[in-house]
Amino acid sequence: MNQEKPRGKVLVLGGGIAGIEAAMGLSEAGYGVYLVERSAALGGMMPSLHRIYPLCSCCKLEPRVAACEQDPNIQVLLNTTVTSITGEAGRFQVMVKQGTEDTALEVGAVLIAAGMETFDPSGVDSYAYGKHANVLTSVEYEQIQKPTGPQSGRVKRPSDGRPPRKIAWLQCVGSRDINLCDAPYCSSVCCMYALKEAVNTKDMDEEVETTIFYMDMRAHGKGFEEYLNRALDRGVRLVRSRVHTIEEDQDTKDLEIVFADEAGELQREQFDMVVLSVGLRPSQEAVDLARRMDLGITEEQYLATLPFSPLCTTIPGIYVCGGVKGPNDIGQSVVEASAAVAEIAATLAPEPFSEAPSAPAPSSPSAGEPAILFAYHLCEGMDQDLGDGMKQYAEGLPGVVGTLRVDGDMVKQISEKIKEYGADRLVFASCTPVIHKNLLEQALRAAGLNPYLAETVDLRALSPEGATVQLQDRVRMAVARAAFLSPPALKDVPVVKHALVVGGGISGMESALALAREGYPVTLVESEEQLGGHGRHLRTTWDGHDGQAYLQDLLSRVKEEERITVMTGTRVKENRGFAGSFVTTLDSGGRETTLTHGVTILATGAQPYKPEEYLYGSSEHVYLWSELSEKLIRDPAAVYEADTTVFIQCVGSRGDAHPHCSNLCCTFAVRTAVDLKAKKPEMNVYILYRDMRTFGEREKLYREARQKGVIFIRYEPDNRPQVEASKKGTVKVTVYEPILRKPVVIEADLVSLQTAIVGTGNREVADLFRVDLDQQGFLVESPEKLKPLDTTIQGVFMAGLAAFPKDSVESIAQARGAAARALEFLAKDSVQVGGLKAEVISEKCAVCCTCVRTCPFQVPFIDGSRGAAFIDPALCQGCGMCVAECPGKAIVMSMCSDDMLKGAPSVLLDTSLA
Amino acid sequence: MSEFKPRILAFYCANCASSAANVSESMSLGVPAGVKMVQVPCTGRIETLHLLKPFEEGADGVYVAGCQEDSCRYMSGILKAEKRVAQVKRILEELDIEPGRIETFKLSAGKGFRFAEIASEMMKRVQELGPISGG
Repeated sequence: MNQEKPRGKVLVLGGGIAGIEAAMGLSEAGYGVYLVERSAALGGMMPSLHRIYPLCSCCKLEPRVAACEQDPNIQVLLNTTVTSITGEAGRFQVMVKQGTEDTALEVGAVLIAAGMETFDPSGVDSYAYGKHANVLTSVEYEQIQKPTGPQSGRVKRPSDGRPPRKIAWLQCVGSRDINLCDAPYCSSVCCMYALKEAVNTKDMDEEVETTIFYMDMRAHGKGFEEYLNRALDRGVRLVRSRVHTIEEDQDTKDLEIVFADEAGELQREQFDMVVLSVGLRPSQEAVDLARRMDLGITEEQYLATLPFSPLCTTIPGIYVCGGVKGPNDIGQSVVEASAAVAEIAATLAPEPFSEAPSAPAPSSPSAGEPAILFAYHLCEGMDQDLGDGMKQYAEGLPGVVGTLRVDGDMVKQISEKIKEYGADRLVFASCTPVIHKNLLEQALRAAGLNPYLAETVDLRALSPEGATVQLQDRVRMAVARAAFLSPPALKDVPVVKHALVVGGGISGMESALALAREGYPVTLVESEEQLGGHGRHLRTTWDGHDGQAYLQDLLSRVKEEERITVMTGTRVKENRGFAGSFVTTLDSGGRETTLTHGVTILATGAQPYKPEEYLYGSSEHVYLWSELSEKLIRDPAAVYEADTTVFIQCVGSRGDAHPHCSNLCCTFAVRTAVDLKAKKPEMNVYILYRDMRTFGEREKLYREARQKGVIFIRYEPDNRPQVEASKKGTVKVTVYEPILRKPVVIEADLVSLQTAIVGTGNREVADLFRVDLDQQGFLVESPEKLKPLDTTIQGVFMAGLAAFPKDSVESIAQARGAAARALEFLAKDSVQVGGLKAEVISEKCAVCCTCVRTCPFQVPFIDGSRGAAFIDPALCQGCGMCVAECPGKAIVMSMCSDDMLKGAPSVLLDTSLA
Repeated sequence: MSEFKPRILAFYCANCASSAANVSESMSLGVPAGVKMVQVPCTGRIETLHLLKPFEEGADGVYVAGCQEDSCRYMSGILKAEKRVAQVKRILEELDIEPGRIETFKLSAGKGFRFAEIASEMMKRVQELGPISGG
C-alpha cells in the first residue's frame, strides 16, 4: 500500500500552536515541512495570553518554537504569505511571498492551520469601545495582566492609572447575535477565558470585585465545570443578563452598565473597568485564499470539512486544523494537529529535507568529585526573587560548579553550559519539571553525557509559610541526590511494530484503521460481543449527517482491513512492559492469548449515568437519551406518536456526584428537538435546561430550534423539574418558569433524560495499564501538558469518551490524533531503556533466588553462564523491591542508591545548611 | 520548649508524587515546611535501615506514603513498606520511643489531595507527641 502513495513534503500554513504541533508531528513522521507564518514570529495567539486554564501550559510553547526552529526537517518561513496553491494531491505548487520575493514550493500536501482573529468591537455603539477609555477588549486585558507586559502585571485604568476595584466582563461580544457586525455562532472559548481572567485578577488582588455578564455559562470541556465552580468559590460573580449599553461618567470616567436581568427588568450598575469578551473569527487571509481556490466554506465563514472526516477540506490533499475550521480552544487545536498528521500520512509518503541527526554516544563521567550544573526555569509570573534566591543558595552547595537560568532554547543552553563548566551532572528546577524531562535528556545527550544523570526540583506545592525553607530543602536534596548518581547502563530495545487498541466503539475502530493503513498490524479488543459501542445509537451528528450509515461503512472498513485482528468478547487481563515493548494477556471467555505490542490506544468509552429520579425505570414514557436515540433509529414511528416531548438536561450532571458537564447533551437535545419539530411541527417540544451549551457552530441549531417553536425553560439546580405519573397514563412534568415566575405543568407523552456521561467503567483498564484517572473516571492527560492524547504512561494514548464526553466528530478527530501519536512511536526502530533499573552485581550474588521470588513482574532469573541472577534492563520496571530484599546486597539501583537513601536524612535535616 | 517545630522525613513513591503535585497545584495545597521529602520509585524500595536513619539524624517522625495495594503499579510495594514500618515500630518501642512516630499511608489513584492532608496529619500527631525523650 505504501508503494502506491506519492512521496512529498508538506506545507503548513500558520505558525500558531496548531501549525507548530502539526509541523513537529510531521517532522517526527519523516516529512520535510515548510512552516509558513505571516507574522515575524511563531506562536500565533498563545504568546498574547496570560496563563491557560485549567492548568497553565504557556511554558510549553517556547520549547516547541525552539524545536521547530532547530529541526532540520522544518523550514520556518516567517513574514511569509501564501498567494496561491495549484496542482493536485501529491503534487501541489504553492506560491509564497516573502517581502517582494515570490517563491514556488513543491509539496505533496497542504495543511491550513491559519488560526483565528479576534472580533474588533471598534465602531459598535453599544460596546463603546474606543469611545470610553476604560472599556478594553479581553486580549488587551490579558496583555496588561502579563507580568512581562507593559505594566508588569499590575492592572490600571487607562483613564487615570488607578487600579480598578470593580471590573465587569461582557460575554458574547461579537458572538451569538445576528446583528450587522456580530457572528451568529458561539465562539466557544470566551466563557472560560473570562473566568480565567477574573480568577487571575483575584490571584493578584483578592479584594477586586469581578462580575461576568453572560447569557449561558458554557463550561463544556474537560475540567471546565470544575474550574467554573472554583471561580465561584473565589467570589467571581455571574450575572445572567442582556447588556443594553455602557455609559461613562464624564468626570470620573467610571462606567455604568445598563442591562436587562433574567426577568427582563432594566438594571444599572457602576464599574471601574469593563472588559469585552471578544469572539473569534477565522483568519481572513486564509478564508480569502480558500475562496480563490474554491475550497468549501461554511455559512459561518470557517473552512468546511467533509462529514466524518473533520480534517479534510473539500479538495483532496488539502487539510485543515485549528481555529480556521471553527472556534477551537488550544487543547482541541493540538488534537486536530495530530489528527491532521494521520490524515496526511494516509495519502502521502514522507519525503524529508535531511535524515535525522544522531547524538554522540554518552561518555561516562570522570572519576572523582561530581560537578553539578544547577539550571532553573521560571514561568512567566513567577517571582524573580525566587530564582535569585535559588541560584544563590545552589551556588553555595557542595558539588555545584555553575548555575544557569534557562530562558528559551533549553536543550542548547543547558548542553552548552554543561560543556562550559565541565559539569557531569544536572539539577533542574521548574514548575512541573516532568514536562521538561525529554528536553533534559536531550540536553544531556547533546552534551555527551548519560541522559539519566539529572535530578529535578519541583517548584509547586510550596507551603505559603515556609516556602524558602522548603525550596532550599528541595534544592539541597536534589544536589545531594545528583552527587549520588552513577550512570545507569543503557540498552536499545527494538520497537514491536504492532498496536493494541482497547475498545471497539467509533474511536477504537477509527484509531485502528488509521494505524492499519500505515501498514502496522493492529489488535482491536472489545469486551462486548460486537463492535460499535455507543455508535449503535448514534442517529445523527450535530450537523445532521447520518450516524448509522457512517457506522455501517466504518464496520465494513474494519472488517475488510486485513491488518486489523478484531477480538470481541475479550478483556485485557494483564499488561506489563514499557513503551515500545508491551506484553498484554487477553482473555476471550477463558481462552488466553499473549500479545506483544509497541503502543496502546485506550478507547474504552464511558457510560450514561442511570438515574433513580424522574421515574426512570418505572415509567415507559421516560427514556434515557441513548434509549431515545436508539428508538428513533429502530422504531421512529413510535416516537412520533407523542404529542408532547420534554427533554430534561443535566440529569446527574453538574452536581455533587458528577461535577463535570457532559458536553454533548445540550446539542443532542436541541438536534433531536429540531428533527422532531421538522417531522411533526404540531408536537410540543420542551427543553428544560440550566445553561444552554450549544457551543461553537452548534449555536445555529439552538437558533433553529427556537425558530421552530421548541420551548426552552431554564431551571435552577435547587429547584429541579418534578416528574410524576399522570392520571392520563402519561407523565406530568412540573417546572418553575423564571420569566412567568410561576410553576408550569406539562403533560408529556415522552420524557428524555440527558444524563451525565461517566467514566466509572474505566477503573479496571486504567489500573491494568497503570494510567491515571480523574475523579470522574476519565483518563488523565500526560503531566507533560499540552499533550491531550497522551496518558500518564508513555506509549499509551487515549481517544473518545474515555478521555472526556464529546460528540462523534470530535471523537473521530481524537482517534486519528491518537493514532498519529502512536505512529510516531511505531516509526522508531528502537527505544533506549535504562535509567531507573535494578542491576545485579554477579560477584556478590549468592543465587538465593530472593529476587526471583520478590519481583512482581518475574523479571530476574538465574543465568547459568554468569552463575548469578540476571535482570534484563528492558523488562525491569524499576520499583527497587529486589534491591531492598536482596540479603547479600548484590542488587543495586544507581538512580535510587542505598547511599542516597541513607544520606538523605542528614542532608535534609542538617540545619547548618538551611 | 514552648514552640516545638517537628521535623519529619517522608518517603513517598513517584506515582503519588506526580498525581499529588498536579492536584495540589490546582487546589493550592501545600505540604508543611517541617516535612522533608524523599522520593523513591516505589515504597517497596525502602529498607528498615532507611527508616531508622532519619531518627538517628534527629527527625521527630517518619512516614511512608504509597499507593493502595490495588492500585500500586508494582502490585505489592506498599505491603513491603508496611511490614518494615511495623518492624521499626517494634524497634522504637524497645527504645522507649512512641511507635506512632512512624506510619504508613496509602493513597488511591486520583486522590492526590490526600498527599498534603497526610503531611499535615502527621505533623499534628508528632506535634502532640512532642520531641523524642526516650532512647
